[in-house]
Amino acid sequence: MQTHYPLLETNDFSFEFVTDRGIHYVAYFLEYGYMFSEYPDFSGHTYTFNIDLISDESDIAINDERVGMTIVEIFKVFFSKIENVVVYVCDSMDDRHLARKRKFDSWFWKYNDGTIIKEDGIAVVEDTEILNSLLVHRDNPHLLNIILAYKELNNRADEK
Amino acid sequence: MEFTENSAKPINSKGALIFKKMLEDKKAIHEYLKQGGKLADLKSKYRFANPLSSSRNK
Repeated sequence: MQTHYPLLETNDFSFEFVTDRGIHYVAYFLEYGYMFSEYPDFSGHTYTFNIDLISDESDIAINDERVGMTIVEIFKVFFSKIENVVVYVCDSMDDRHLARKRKFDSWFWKYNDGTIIKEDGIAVVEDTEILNSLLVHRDNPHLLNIILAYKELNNRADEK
Repeated sequence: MEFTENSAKPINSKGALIFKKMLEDKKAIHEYLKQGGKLADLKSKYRFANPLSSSRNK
């Protein structure tokens, strides 16, 4: 039975893991409290998530299910504090961002045990669509307000 | 309106700025790592969360 890759705690602000093929990933969270600054109940627990490559140029959307398991495991650890809120964006540096999002979504729905709620959004910024998602623990006491604030953030993205 | 990641001023009307900032941070860190840089070197520029303390400090 497959399991996630071991999470390496090489420093205080990221998770790292290395795949069977030697691909080295780093996953990190940035504090983004000002995203929901008008909502003090949860702004202090708001972060963005990113995952990047250290050692290889291979795309994250590779056919390695253990990578997906590992990403979901990272979220499980992070959301063991149920107040945490995560928003992440899909970069559009190349034409593969839709494929990456589909891969991430498939991993999420496959390996999430229902603990984490996911909402998707599209922010239209200067005529460019920025695909993004909200992750929040299902038991977060501010769940509904967080979702509403997130949707408002997307809806207001194209305001001048 | 201008802001930085260290700004304490609330930005509550321009979602665009926030999403653009998120993308800029993501790209900048990606480029830094791609050139062999370490996340540790960026501690003063970005507010990294400690994923373990963020989960353990209940």
